[in-house]
Amino acid sequence: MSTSIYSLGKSNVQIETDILSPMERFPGKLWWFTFTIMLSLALMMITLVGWTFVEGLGLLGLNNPVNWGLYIVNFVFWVGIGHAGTLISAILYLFRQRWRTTINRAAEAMTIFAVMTAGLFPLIHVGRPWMVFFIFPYPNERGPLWVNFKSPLLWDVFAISTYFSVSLIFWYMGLVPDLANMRDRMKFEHVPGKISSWGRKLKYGFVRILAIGWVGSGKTWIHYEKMVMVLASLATPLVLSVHTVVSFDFATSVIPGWHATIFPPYFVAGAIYSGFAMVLTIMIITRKAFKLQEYISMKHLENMGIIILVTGMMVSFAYTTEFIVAAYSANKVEQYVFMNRLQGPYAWAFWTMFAANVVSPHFMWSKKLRTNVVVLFLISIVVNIGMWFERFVIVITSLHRDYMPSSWDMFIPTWVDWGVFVGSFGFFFTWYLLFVRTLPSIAIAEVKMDEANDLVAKELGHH
Amino acid sequence: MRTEKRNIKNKNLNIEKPVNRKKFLAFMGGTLGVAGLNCARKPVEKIIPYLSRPPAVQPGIATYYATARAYSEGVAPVLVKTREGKPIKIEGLAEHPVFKGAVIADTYATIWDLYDKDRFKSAMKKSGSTFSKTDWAEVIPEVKKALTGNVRVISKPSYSPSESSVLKKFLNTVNARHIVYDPSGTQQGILTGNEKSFKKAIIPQYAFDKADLILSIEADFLGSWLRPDIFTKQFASRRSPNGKMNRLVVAEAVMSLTGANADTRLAIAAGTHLTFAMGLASLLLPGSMLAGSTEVKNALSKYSPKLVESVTGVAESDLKNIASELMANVGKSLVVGGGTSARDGQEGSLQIVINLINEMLRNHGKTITPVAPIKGSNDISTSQELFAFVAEMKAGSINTLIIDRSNPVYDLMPLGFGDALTKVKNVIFIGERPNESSEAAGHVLASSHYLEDWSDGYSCGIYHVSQPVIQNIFDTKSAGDIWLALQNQPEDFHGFIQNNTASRYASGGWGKLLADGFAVVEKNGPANMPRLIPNAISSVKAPDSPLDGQRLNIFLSVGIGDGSAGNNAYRHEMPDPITKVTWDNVLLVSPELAKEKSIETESIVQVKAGDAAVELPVVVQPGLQKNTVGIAFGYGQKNMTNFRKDLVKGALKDNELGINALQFAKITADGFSYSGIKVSSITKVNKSYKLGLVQKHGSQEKRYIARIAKLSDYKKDPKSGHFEHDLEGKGLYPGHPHPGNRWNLNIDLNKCTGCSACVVSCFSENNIPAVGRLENWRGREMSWIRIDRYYDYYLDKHDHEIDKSGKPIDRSKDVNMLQANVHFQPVTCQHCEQAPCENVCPVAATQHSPDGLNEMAYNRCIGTRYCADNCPYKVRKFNWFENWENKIKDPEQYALNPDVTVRSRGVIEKCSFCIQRIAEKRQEARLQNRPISEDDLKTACEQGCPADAITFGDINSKDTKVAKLDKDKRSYKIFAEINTRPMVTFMSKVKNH
Repeated sequence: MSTSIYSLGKSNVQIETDILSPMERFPGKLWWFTFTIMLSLALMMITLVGWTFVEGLGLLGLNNPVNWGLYIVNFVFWVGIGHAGTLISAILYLFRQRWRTTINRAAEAMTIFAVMTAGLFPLIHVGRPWMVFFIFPYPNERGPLWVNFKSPLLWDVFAISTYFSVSLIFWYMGLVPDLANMRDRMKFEHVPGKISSWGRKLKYGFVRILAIGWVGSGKTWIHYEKMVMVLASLATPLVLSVHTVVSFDFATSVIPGWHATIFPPYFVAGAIYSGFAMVLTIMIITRKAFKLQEYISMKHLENMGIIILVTGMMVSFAYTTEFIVAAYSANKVEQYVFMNRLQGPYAWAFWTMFAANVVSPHFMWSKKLRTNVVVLFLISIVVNIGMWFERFVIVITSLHRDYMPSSWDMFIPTWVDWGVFVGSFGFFFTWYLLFVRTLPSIAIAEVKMDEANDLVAKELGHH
Repeated sequence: MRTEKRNIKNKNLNIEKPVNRKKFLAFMGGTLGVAGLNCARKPVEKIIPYLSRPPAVQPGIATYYATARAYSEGVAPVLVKTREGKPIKIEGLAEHPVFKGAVIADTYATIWDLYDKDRFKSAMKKSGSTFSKTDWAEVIPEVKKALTGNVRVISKPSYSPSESSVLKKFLNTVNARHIVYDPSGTQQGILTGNEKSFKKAIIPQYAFDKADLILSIEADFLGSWLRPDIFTKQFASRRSPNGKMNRLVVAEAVMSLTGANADTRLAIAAGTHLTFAMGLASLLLPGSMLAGSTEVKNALSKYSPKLVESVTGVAESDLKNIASELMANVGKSLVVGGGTSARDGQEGSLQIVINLINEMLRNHGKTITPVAPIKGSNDISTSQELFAFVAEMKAGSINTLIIDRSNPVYDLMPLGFGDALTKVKNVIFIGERPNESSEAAGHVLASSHYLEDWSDGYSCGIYHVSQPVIQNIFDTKSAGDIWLALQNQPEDFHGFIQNNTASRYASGGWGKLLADGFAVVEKNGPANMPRLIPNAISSVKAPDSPLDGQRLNIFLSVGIGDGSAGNNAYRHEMPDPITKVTWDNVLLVSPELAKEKSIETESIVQVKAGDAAVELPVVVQPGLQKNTVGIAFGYGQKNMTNFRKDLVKGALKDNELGINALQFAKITADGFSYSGIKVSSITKVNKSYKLGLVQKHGSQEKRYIARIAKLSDYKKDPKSGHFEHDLEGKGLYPGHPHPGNRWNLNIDLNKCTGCSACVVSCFSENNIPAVGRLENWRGREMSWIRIDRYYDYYLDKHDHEIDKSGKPIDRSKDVNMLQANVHFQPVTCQHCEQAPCENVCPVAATQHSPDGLNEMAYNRCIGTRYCADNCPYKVRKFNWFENWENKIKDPEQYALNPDVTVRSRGVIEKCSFCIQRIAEKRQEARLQNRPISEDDLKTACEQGCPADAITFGDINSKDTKVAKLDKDKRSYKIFAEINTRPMVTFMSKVKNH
């Protein structure tokens, strides 16, 4: 039995207090400050999107060759972010990677919010959003008129909604024992703080309902463990399928630079890459803000750094393959698109991506660097910038100069494009900030279990 | 129900009490009643049905009228499609013996001139500086009162015999004189030259279809010179490489549409066309019928090929080759010259040299005939008369000036006409819409559009009647009626035409004339031109030493022309065929000059020439010599200031579109100089500008999209010029069955001249919105058929660029791309059998029809634009904004085709192969229980094409034209290797050299 990468030696009560106390206090100034900024950004996005609903998508910088712009870049980016959570909670669970315990809750929450953010974009980028329900296969009196099952966009609808619902259920199920814990703490212990009695009552009510009568008996735990196993098994293929399907949007098209068989694994690797980078960013902030360094230890961060290194190299391999295939293809159009990435008008985007995605992860070879929080934080941000540009390069540079040279054009984003992009971060972090204040961002029950296991291991004499 | 009603009225219903059956019914009734009230419709406003339907009007069925557009540049016979009494589309009159259905973009666009919201809605009167409405009963006596003292009428040339005769009567009645000017100088140049050469001022009839070799010197006969409709028809009829294909040689300074279509194009320095012509004449002289004339010999002797090379920049050998080619085609060639860019200050001088050349080549009487001429007499005042008139005005001796449907304040700006006009006591303006000249008038007599009122036209030996197809939309009168009213004639112009003019020309009777739209008076046939006066040449002074510095040519653009109808959004929305610029005129500079001055397309430069210093945007244009720059005429007019704001946003100057090129024009003792104007400096200005350029990349990147072969290679191998990798693979999904018809469009790139008539015809047929300059800059043009224009060299087997003789091209030695081929390629939706767009639409809004169409269901479209991304041909257009609702103003909506859905914001649209036309003809055929005949089914682009380059038909039946063309060796599909299997077939271009 492997030893835990974190060893607390704390009592259960102490663990509970460490993790739950931020939820029981009235939020501090820093939280309110950040929350106000993020909420304003989210509201700005909603206003801008409302404006495009009234005036039309012409407010964006799109045009005929580049019919998809930053909205789709953001969509793929956020779906990619939404990968790490379920990967950590499902795949790493099945592989018995114990270090996932303390990061899985927040990572899963991040997944949910990232998929929510991502899911907005396909809806707001359509020309007639009020007709967007046409995309769902529901019985209707128009024939009935069905959706087009050949369309990858429809596959997206299924893939993302399935992924979202399974991730949500998985996350919620993981939360139930902790919610019960919260409920019981609220009921039996006096929790200090500025929260009014009315507020506390309301909160207690919610927590009680959400805890769905969890009692924590041995029998319940047996069922619970089985269910988690089943859900993890269900969620595992979804981790791979969702970005595979997103990549089909591009791979099944005829557009040079999109039409590539390497896209599904390439997109999944990229998604894990960016997802872990985002988890790293968030975890570094969360552990600092809520003083959870003991729970999310340097070893955790280092492990994620290693994953970033590995997936970063996978992504670099995919880039290389794309170029080699283009060179080998004897297809002028394909070759042009790739040369254009290197030296065309959007070469700056390509080289930004290259520096961020191909070069920066190699700092992780050094133990010294990958155990330095500041370096890890910077690399995690840089990788996500790189991954955003990767999608920018795929979407924009492929479209802006495709088959017909007569139609070649430039995509110049307007401030509405940028506003919605920035606003999407506001939207995401608004949810995340609400999460860290209302739900335990570390799985208490699992941490306790690890502690208990450690104890047992010690007593059995294993070292 | 009665009882329940009473229940409600009489009893105070109390819900608390147990509800019995009656009460329940009462509630139900009440609820239903209230629910029903909610849905009451708004009261419908006045719809007055026909009490008895006029026999010609069948709601839903179009009625066609043959009529003609008689205007200052000629007569264009048209067929007008009307629906429910409103004209909606201009079409060609196929029965016309000369035009044969040819219509140019400019004439197609006149449908929107009719429904122009900016037209004068009644007669107007100026009080102070503002105009107020008045009525005819008031304004006519007031104008009559002003007809004392020196009265003058100024107008553009006229082709209407009836208008001319009522005007003549009017002039006699009030003892007035008539001044006629030609804004572009095209007609004046020919008439003046012919007057000097033949003592007969006519514009003869040209037979481009009978010429094996055509040489044009500055004359853009396919785009803007005289009657491009007739000439395109004739020229294209000889562009089949299987028969005896004609050869076109063009010598010009700035790339014109004709130059772009040339088999051999010689770029000359701006302002040196005369030297070129003289040099050519001098080479042709020995051995010709004029070899004995000493005057001719003396006049020409100076212009040796060497001198021509030093002045024009055309290599000695090229000039000699052209001369020997012409000599080999005696009697079978045609040399034309002139136009705005050849207006060099000596009116008619180029025409004199051209006449001499044609005489030496014995073309007169064969390809140029005086019988049934385009214009039979000269009504244009000489430049001296014009100068004298302006001097009179300036002296204040003109009491009253009537400006008849023209804009001399703009057109004659170099003469200072605007200032001179302030000295005229009474200015009366006749016209359709405001312009600089109407602003200066005291009274405005609103004239009708040609589709609203009676007129006539005589040209090419054919008398045309122009009949109204709609009642006057506003309180306007035809010009003829105005002249009659001003001379107290009780008769109306309709009666005058019917009784006086038509009876003279049309022998078949009035009814037949109205039905046909024209009557042949004089048939064209072989007849010699009058005797040439050779020594007319002695007055021609051609530059005999290189023109120093940078030189500017002002030319006539295909879309805007002289700009008199420049307030029509569609004329601006149609991209210039050469530059692909919309909503602007630009300075065209050669790549070499651009490099030297480090300017590029969209840069702003300041051009100084004479007193003018003007800032304007630049387009780098291949095919120009370094010392040549060009700018289109007609822009910067007042009538272009009234566009909807979003259409002209970001223009160089607020409220002004383009630059008035006449600022650069010069006046000489003999006339106007628009050619070879000396430019003192061109300097880059640090300003950013967004140009409404719809095509931003000019090369096809060796992708074999628009294919080309040399005629000699084609004769050896008809597959020459084709891409060896054309292949068809297998698809994932099974093909669509096509049991009945299967529509196919064939575009012959060898016939297509790029004139863009199809584009405008499609705008009109398919309700395509004009989106304006910034949207075009952004890349959001909406046209369903676009004409791609590429500049490329020939390619050898290894895709290396070669010249026509097969030698590798050194790009650094041909910076100005004088050796490049110009391609025009109309691209519509390709209606792919394996359409990439159909697979990807999540809501199945685009589907394949059994007759092979790729169909769009606008109502189903949610606007994901995935289809547009996945279209390799980029023909799918998205409605980025609402283009109609609250954007068009009354009466613009009447120009919409009621058979075609007007698309809302947020949906994709694209070429439908004119499905409304297919449906109409299919219905007709079914009722008559017969298959659809290919003769009566034409798409708007096919019908719109004056070159007959487009053929539409059923490819399933073996003997249709389109099925035969599909099997031609020249036929190919673009990007066949993606396996989209397009239903649009292109036929490669073959260049005759």
